[in-house]
Amino acid sequence: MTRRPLATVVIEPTMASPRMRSFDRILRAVAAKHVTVTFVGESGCGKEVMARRLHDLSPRRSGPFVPINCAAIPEALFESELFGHERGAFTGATERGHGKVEMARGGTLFLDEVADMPLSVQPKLLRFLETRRFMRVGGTKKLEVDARLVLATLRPLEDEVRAGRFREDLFYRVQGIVLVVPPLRDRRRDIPPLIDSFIAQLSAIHDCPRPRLTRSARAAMLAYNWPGNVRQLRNVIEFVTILRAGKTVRVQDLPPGLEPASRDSAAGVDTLTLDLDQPLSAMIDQIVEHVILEEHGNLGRAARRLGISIRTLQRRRA
Amino acid sequence: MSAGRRVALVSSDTRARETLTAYLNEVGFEVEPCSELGVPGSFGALVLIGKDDTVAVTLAARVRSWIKRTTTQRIVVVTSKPAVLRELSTAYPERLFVLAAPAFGWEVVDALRAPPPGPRPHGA
Repeated sequence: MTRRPLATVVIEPTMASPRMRSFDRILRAVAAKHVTVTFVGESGCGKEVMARRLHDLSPRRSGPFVPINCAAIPEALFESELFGHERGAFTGATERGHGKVEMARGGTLFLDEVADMPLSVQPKLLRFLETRRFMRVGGTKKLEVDARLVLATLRPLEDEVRAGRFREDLFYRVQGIVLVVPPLRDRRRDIPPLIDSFIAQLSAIHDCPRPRLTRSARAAMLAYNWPGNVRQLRNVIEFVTILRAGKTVRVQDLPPGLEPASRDSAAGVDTLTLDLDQPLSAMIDQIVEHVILEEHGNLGRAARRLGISIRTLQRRRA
Repeated sequence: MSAGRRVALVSSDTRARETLTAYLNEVGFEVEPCSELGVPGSFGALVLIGKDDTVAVTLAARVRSWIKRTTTQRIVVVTSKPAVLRELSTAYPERLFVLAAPAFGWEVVDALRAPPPGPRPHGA
């Protein structure tokens, strides 16, 4: 089978799996409306990519997308980072600085790891969200900004409210529509295109010839549980790209932990849980993918096991 | 439409050219797609999408010539050979942005919109 050459520029994130295709349909519906969206998902599952996709699908796409990682900013600098500062507002403020809120005018402000926002800053964000007005640190003039707010969090914000780390009033103000980004183990059909894309990109970055994955290495990667999600997959590809540049990658060349013996079979290959509330076609897709996975990507064997022709199987996956 | 939003998109890869042109139009850029660029100076920015089989020296020579033939234009290059442009991007960090392929369309947008680096401290 001839593989389609990889695109040099991609507009959509990898969404080959039924789970992600259905997620994208929801994104499209929500993007068009002026509502706050909160992405909840495990570390490394692509929340920022989904936030960017939401921005691109929204009527604000020609405006800026401004991300801010709430976990990475020291508490003392947070207010200035968010709202900016006037010259002389504090030691070292030799120039007026624009904050992320101001930079997001007409676009999207993405607050990543929002549960880690310091409690001291939360009332100021709440005030801004209520009035859409704010003052730079050291300023006296109220400024107005129209920006869409999109949030991301590892843990549901309700848990943070219960733990006293997130203000309840802010929670009700920001929560909006909550979208759970599926972990990679629940969208295994995305793994092969992600592998190919990362190999191409990381070989380019590290200026080395592309490694070639054997079928068994691919199967092992397909079956693995990926607790660190897409980020972990990228790290593994970086590992083999550097260590097996231009060479074949066998199962034994994968980092420890990815060998078939260490698979989490209970959560991965040997059981299949179907959500009966989804459409029949989505359930069929899930069964088909599961069998292909169990047959290590061998479509002929998967088709025989399913009692259909290989052509029918290929049509189903197209 | 400001001149800064007029972008020349150069690529011999028809699929990449069409895809990115549509995307950049949607996010507000006026795009002139072409496979060869005649007068680079008439655009606010230049985007070059390399193909996998682009010869490294040809790519570097073309980007170097664009830098010489323009004064302030931003140049964004998506390529599977970013290493060949490392020297140039170090010499022109405010003008040349190099992205490893495959890149997201929004990475090209971010490179086109990125504010120029702040003024260098005196004596630097």
